[in-house]
Amino acid sequence: MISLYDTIVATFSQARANQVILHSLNSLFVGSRHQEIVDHDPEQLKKEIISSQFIGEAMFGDHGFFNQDEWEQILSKLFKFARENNVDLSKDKYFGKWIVDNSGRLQADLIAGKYSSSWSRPSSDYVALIEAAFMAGTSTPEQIFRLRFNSSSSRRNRGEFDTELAHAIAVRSSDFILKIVEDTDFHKNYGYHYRGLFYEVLAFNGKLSKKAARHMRSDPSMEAAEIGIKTVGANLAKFSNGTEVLSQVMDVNHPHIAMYLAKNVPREYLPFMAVCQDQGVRQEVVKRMMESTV
Amino acid sequence: MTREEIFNRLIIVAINGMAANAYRDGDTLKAFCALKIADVVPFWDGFTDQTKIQVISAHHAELSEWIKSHKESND
Repeated sequence: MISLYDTIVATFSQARANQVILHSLNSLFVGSRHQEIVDHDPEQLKKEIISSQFIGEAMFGDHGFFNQDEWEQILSKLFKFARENNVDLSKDKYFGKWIVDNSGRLQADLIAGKYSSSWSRPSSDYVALIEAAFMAGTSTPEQIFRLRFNSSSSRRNRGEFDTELAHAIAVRSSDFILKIVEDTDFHKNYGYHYRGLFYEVLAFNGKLSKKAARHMRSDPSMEAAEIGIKTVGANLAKFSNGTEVLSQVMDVNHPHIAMYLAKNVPREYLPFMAVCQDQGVRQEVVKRMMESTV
Repeated sequence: MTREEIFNRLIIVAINGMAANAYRDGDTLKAFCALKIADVVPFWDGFTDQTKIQVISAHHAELSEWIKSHKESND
């Protein structure tokens, strides 16, 4: 087989070959307005790439004057994709070294108050830095949670950084977040932005208990309840107690949220919603059940 | 996939992306050249049929010539 990479190295340079690889990774993982993705199965290709343990060579090798901000964005997207697909990037020796070298930056940045204002934009490699801290074991998810999401700072608006951080923590320590949500004073202790975020990450991982689901359903903020309940609807298959969780949230006080569930939950869950108090919601459930029998 | 396969596939994605951009910008010759390079490892699959047809139509004579020479060199 012809090696196009080696051909480019021989014809131009190693840096040029790595740049071509980075452009390709950019279009596949980050998405660019300026570059179309042309491949017959990009999702499968991304999985093959991330599991291959070969791309570290191009990512961390000489890539000439490739834009640093774009490079950091690619790095973050690779780490995020790896987390979502249960791939351990530390097995790649180049990624492994980067993880060790950068494992302390997240905690140091948080202690220094780098992200304390909602308008401070994180560096483009922030997802990679979050993952590196946890993968290297430099910080525990609980330590980082307390540093970032303590009650006194909980009135802050939620930014992209908070969303990614909460997802990274929930994947590794969902029980810890679950206990916080189950706490009787949860609604008092945290602002509605953070409450919505915690519901979202737990629901995304299929980890809500009956009690936590009830707190979500009764949240004084419609926005927080809506984020959580819609995430439940989209991720019911991940729950081992899906029907129990659904039964706790379907009588939510906001009919448009219940209607969202009625329109979107998988058909097998519809019978559990047929006892809903709201007549419009019940009608929608019956309509979908009738459609499924035709 | 081997290292060569992964890297080839990524480079083809970059080349095809280049070709698509060039075609969108009206530079069909550049698009055609990029696709010719991509054909070192045959990979027209990634391109939509409509774009392929448009590129081929625009450069039919050159393409025929290239296929002929490519075939001869393979023979």
